[in-house]
Amino acid sequence: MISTIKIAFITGLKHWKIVLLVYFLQLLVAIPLAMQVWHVLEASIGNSLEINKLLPGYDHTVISDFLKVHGGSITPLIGQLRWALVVWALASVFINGGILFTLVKKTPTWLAFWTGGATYFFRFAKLSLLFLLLLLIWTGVTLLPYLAKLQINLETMASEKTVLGYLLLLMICWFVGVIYLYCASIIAKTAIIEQGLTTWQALKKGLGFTFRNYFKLAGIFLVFSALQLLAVVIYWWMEGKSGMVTAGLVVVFFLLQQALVFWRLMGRVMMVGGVSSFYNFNHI
Amino acid sequence: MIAAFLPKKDKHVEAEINLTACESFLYNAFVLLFFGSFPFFVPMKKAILFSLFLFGFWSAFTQCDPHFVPPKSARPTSYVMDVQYDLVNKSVTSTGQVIFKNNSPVPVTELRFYMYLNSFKNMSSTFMKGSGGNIFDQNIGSRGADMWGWIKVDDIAEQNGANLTQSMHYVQPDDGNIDDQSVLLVPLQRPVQPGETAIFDLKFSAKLPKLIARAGWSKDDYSLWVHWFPQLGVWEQGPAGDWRWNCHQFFRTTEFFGDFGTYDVTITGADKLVMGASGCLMSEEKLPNNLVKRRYLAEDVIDFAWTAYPGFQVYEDKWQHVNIRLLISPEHAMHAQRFITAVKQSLEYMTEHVGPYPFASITMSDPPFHALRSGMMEYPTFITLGSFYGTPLGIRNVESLAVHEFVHQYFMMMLASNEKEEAWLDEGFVTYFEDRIIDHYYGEKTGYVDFHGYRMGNHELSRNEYTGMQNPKEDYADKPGWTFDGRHKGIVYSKTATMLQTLQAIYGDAAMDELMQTYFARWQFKHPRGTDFFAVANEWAAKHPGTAFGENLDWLFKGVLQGTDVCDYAVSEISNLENYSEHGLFDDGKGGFEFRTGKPTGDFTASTSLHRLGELIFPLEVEITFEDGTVKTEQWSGEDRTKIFSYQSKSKIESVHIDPKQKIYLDIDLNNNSLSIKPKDSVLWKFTLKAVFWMQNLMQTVSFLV
Repeated sequence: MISTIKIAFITGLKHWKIVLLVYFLQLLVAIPLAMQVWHVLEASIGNSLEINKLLPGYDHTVISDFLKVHGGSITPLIGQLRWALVVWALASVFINGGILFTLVKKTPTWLAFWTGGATYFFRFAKLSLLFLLLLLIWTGVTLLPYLAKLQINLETMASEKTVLGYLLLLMICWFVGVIYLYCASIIAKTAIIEQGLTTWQALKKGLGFTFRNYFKLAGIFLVFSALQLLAVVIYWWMEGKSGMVTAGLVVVFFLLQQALVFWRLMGRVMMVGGVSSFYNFNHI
Repeated sequence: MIAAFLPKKDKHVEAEINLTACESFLYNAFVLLFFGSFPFFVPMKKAILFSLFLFGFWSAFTQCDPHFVPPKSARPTSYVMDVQYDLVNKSVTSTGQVIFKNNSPVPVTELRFYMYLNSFKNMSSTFMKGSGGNIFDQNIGSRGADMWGWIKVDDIAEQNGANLTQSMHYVQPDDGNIDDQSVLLVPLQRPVQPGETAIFDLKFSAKLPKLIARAGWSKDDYSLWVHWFPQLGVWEQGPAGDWRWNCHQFFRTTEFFGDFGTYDVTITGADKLVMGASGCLMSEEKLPNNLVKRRYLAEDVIDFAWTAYPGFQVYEDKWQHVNIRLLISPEHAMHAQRFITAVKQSLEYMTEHVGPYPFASITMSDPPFHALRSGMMEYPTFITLGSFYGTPLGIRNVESLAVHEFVHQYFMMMLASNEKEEAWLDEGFVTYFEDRIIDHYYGEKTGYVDFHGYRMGNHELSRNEYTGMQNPKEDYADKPGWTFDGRHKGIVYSKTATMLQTLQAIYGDAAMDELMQTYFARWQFKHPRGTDFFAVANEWAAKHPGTAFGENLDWLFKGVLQGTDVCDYAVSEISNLENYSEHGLFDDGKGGFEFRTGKPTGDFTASTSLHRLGELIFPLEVEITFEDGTVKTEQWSGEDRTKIFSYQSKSKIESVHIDPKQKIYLDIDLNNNSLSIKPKDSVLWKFTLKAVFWMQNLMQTVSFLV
């Protein structure tokens, strides 16, 4: 597994151009939406002296007065965001197909990225729907019955500590299943690219292979997840220590945020690369 | 000699303890300590047992002295109750006396008792009616027989006189609902004459409901006994000058109103129960069959409450003369010190800013989460809390709640206003002091929450509960509780608190303390009404002339408490027009015109428009800042709907700020109180870039699995 992680790491670094491409695509979608925040704020409280209180940090009075009076003006933005996310999810089928294609074919070029995305878009979309359905079923089985009874449990169990304990346990179970489905989806897609399997064959392959190699695959998943998490924690800590409290620090922290976003994308490519190459070495 | 160590004037304790045995014990203890052995002055086994018993007794009970000599209040109603607690059925039976002293100039011909537990007897009670079987998010409609509560008087008789049981009956003075049994009327055969004290023998039984609100039982033998006995209403003079019982029915939106007196309550129950109660624990006696008898005494209080639960952990502390006792469910033990610290801070703050806390004890009960509906409430020298496992230190609902309920010992208990008719008079004042205390000890902008960059002062929270209401004009603060529809916290608690904070900002901290101290000193251990507070406030305002609020505050109270209007001022425009020297056609004095070419003078006609958007009128300060740094402070009566300040100036107006120190905290939108011609771009970018970041992260999350 260590060699797989090493390969995944190197593969990820080699694919920096692809990561950069995806990063910019994401930024292109995010900026027009976020600019509306600028306009809403400018038109509502932009000229109020109270807005100055938001530079050093959160100010509950300013924010709550803003939301009370101008909350309606951010509602359309939330509506747009919802649809943007749906569109992005669809685009991600293409993007993930492109990433996986460059990884499997070991050709980290933009041309390979576009080719892979276009070639496998519909098959991957079908596969993605199936995996989403499996995720919904898994969530429905593990979490929903308990969450639906959470209020009753809080009132009937001796202590809320027990209720939270069970919830934590179920969350862990749910997460175990999520890792399984995530790895299986990468393997199924890899199998489609590599072996030209049909969607159902790939699904079966992905689920079966992951089942047999769960712990190793979960290890790869957890290592790269931990790296991402570490970056998030470091960022959170830095923001807690300082944050965007001066004009200069607004710029500095924006750069840090973007570095974090880039690193998260890179980590994802590494994770996909790791799982995919593990399949390559072990599927025969 | 020994008697000197006993609680003062407690005849029952004196009677129970054999003084010779006491003296033997002290002698034995002295010899044991200094010589290492028993002197065998009394039989060994007896001496050890008695010494252990008495040692426990001594350390536990002598610390807490509930007596007040002379009494703090007129004590019109007092109770002696000997209670047998049936743990299995969550019921009690009690025998004892009710003592009523008629302090009025007119004879009293009937008694009226609150019978609160009958509100939980069925769905036809006034409390339950209209709930549709769902009350406080609980399905009441499916409850079995053992889950309802009730109370009944088994026997009531004038001491050495007539039995009154047959003639007693329920009355419904407020809504006429004949199914409501929350008020019991007992006609007297012999009126209680002015100045006379009448004693009535009273036997009653009561059963707790499965928790609905406040009183009730829950899992694992948890129970809270509040408003659990037939309690006399308040015999008082009404606004029209007539004397009558103030004894309202129990509504979902009302709290309580009782009179001062002493409570001597003995409770016999299972010895596995950890108990807490109002007043002081005076004695504890083990009985056969795993029973224990505990006697509590409370003086000059308006009610008596107690709780019992085998699972409670007990923490004890002391602040000056006050014994602090915390009963807490084990899973919340992590919050124990937080509760205790908060109450100590409250004691310190209230003593300094309002007046001394005279009672010898304060008992807190933090119930298990399944019994949360019994929490978050105030009773004399006894408060119930509520917490959740793992609440971080930076989220101070733990402290805030303890402070709130403790401050009720002042506003509700000592200043025993009518919570039913004028809830703002206690809840509003308590919220105001909760804000002050929490923000004083934990930071003005971080008092309530200080957690990973998210910050909120307690006063900010309170103000927002009012100003953030969907309709801040929804209702009046000063009206009877039963006429509210249930959503009255923002008005009753928060609007009142915000008004008091506004008053403090205008008059200053020291003057505000003076107002509260005067009100407290004059009305403690009495029943002040809103008009009494207004009178004190007007007297106080007259002593502090020179403020914009004037020397009579009726306009403020009328507008804020007895009206629904809101306060909202806004700066709508800043205009800087450059002046020109003479330009255009001018008479040349010869019957013709002369054309003169002018140019900008470099001076400006700088003006600003202010608006009064709300109906409430407040005198205001307006700060106008010019680009050259000059600051002009203007006074505005706040009456005009539109007010323009205009200047001939060398410099442009840069910004305008109405009420720059935010003294008028009642303004429902503080953001529109100022305007600048130069928006702060860095803040706009800060939030825009944060939005970019969060959208990128959201996008990464949704692309998972596809």
